[in-house]
Amino acid sequence: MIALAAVSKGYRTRNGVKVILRDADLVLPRGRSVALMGINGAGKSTLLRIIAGTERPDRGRVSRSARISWPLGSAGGFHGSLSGLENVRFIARIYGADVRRTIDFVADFAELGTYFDMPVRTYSSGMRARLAFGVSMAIDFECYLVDEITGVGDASFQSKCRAAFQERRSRADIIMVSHSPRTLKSYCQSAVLLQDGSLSFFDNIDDATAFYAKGLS
Amino acid sequence: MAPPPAHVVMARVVLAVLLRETRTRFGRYQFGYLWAFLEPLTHVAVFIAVFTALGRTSPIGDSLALFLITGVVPWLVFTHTVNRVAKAVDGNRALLMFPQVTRIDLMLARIILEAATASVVFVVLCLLVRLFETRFTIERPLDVIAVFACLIVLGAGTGIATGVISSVFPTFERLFAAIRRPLYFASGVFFIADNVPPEARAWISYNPLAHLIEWLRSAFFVGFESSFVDHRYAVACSLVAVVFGLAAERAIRPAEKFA
Repeated sequence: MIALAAVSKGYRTRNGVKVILRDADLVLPRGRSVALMGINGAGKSTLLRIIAGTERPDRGRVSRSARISWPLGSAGGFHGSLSGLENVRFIARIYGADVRRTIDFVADFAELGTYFDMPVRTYSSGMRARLAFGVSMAIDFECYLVDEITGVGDASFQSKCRAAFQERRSRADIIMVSHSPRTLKSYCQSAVLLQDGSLSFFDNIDDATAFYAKGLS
Repeated sequence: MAPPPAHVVMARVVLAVLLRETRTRFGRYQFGYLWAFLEPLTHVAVFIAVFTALGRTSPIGDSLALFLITGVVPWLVFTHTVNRVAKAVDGNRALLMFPQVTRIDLMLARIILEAATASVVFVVLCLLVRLFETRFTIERPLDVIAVFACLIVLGAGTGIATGVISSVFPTFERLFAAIRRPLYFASGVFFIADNVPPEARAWISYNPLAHLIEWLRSAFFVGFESSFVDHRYAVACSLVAVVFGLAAERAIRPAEKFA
């Protein structure tokens, strides 16, 4: 279970403070995959990082009782001058996973070929995402935080991701940020709407999309 | 599944960063780890050339090389630790994406790596002198270890503080690096305090590095006892530096971790 209690978060910008969360409460039960929804710039990625623990809230408390992944995206987490393999080795070590087994899994899953031994800075964003996705699948998380990476790669890689998640559905949930409603619906049953600093939970994702569409019009 | 205890997580992270740092620090250059030895050796070689040209001999003991090693190595240990620790977060920012990786982990890994490198370099250089030049005995080996511990603590504290301050005022790091460079000539790397004029000595006595180098030489060379060294001042400076560094780090920590 993941719970946010009276969490506030804001950023100082040139035009004053941009509020992401204002005394927001949220409880995400186990066994449900959740889509994070909100307009551009509402702070969905920031919320994902707060859930992960990558970013600290200004006030309030976040509690987690599951093994949660880092926010999987094409952006961070990799050291550009080291190879994909060396990065995988590092991630396996910090999660206490078996290094050899993790490397073998990623080599097979991410389909990077000879690029696996090349510095990550030579990768395309799609390749980075595949690498991130591969490592996270090698380490058994109970909750995967996914930030816009399921849309990467060709159709066959996408179906591979879907199959990998399908296989873990009984023991792992997803919290996902994506701009594609179709992707969200194919992975998630529930949704959280982030709007003006507050969070509302919808047990059924269809209610959230309907509400969201109404709010926009 | 319960998460592992915090100290286990920290140990894992520091070890993983340490292994990766070893690779990024020494893996890039052609000579790799050898560079750690070449740098002090170049300093020593330059000073031997200057001393010989001026017709001067070592102020302590028979070996000029050994005298210079006991000045150059501590200086490099300090300055490398400050530099590397100050840039620890910038060089590894991407890793902060992982929730269990903290700024302190990144700095601690570099501190350990510098301490290990410093010990290896100092021991190897001393062995080289013993093999090829003169046999010598170290008067107080435990004091030598204490001095190196102080150097690491002083460098670590200064480095953490520099890193934290320059994350708020980016120019600080450059400014401080510029101030540090002349310090090389005021730390007793190639002279002893007894041989400088009293006015200069008064200024040098504020420099904790000068005390540490004199302390090291007093402990190292049989028959040399510095009247200049103030052990308490050297230790106090090291502790103040590390407390100040950690306090500064703690004070800015509530700001976003990943930014």
